[in-house]
This record gives sequence, C-alpha cells and structure tokens, in this order.
Amino acid sequence: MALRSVTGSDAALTDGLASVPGLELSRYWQDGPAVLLFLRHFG
Amino acid sequence: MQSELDGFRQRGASVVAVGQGTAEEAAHYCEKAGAEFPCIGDAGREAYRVLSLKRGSWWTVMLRSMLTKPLESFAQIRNADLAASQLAASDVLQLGGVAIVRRGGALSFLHVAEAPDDIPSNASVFDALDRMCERA
Repeated sequence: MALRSVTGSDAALTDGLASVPGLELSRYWQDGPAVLLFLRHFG
Repeated sequence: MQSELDGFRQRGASVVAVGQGTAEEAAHYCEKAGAEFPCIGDAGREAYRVLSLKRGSWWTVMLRSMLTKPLESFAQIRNADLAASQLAASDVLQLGGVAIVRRGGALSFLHVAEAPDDIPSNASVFDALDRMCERA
C-alpha cells in the first residue's frame, strides 16, 4: 500500500489533471504540495 | 484523514478529496463528513482516467471482502450511505488512489488502489511528503 515515486514523463500527468474541465485542480499546488485523495465514491 | 489534518498542514500540503459526482454532491459529502478540506466532484471521472485509476471486479469490490472479512464488511454495509452509491455518476466498481503533486505541478507520488481497502496510511503519505521536501 505504499506510494510509488513518479519520475520521467509520468510527472507531467498533472498537465492532464489540470486540464479536466470544471475541476481547476492546479490551484491546489500553486503554493505548496497537494495531496489528492481519489475516493471510490461519495458516501 | 480529517483527524490527522494537522500533519498535512505542518508539511504545508493542501488536501483535496476528489469523488465521482457533481459539485453539489461533493459539497454535500464534505458537509456531512465534516471535512475541513475541499471536496471536488468529477462526474465524468476524467481525472481518474488521467491517472489510470482502476476499476475493480465484483470479486474484488464486493465478494472477496464479504468472505474474508465478514464482520467488517457487514459493518461497512450497515454504515454505508446507500444514497451515494445510487448517484447517477457513481460507478460502484471504481477504485480510488492517492496522488501527491509537488508545488508547481509535477506529480511526485502515486498510489493506484487494487482493492477497496487498498489505501495508503497517513503515515506513508507523510513519509512521501517528507521525502519530497528532502529532494527539493
């Protein structure tokens, strides 16, 4: 259950995250690191 | 996560929950959970696809845990918000994950869940944040 370190081109996956319409995720890593928790569902 | 929010704050990290659903459903979840961090609705699961987060099978999501951890499974069912599983945008087989993004936007750590209970501990997330700071 450890997090794997990301290197190389995978580091740019955040470009894709930042471009998801309506989410505006990039605002969360402007001033410091961001921990994004992807939930299975709300509830 | 909520109970250890100070640990994230001490490391200067923002915590954001992303879930399947609309912005309204995300806001409802945040309020109900008493979360002091933002909850974002990704109704189309586009961000999930960007990170190649997995969908489980009926075996991994439902049956295995009921057979191997029956008491915990029934407790989860008893406490579940069934309304959430019935949301139009909700895929019950979708699994979760954790992504840690460095200031400025580079993805530094990623965990892609293999099962519903495959969730990194807060301690392992803190360790990753600390390692990331050491490298900076």
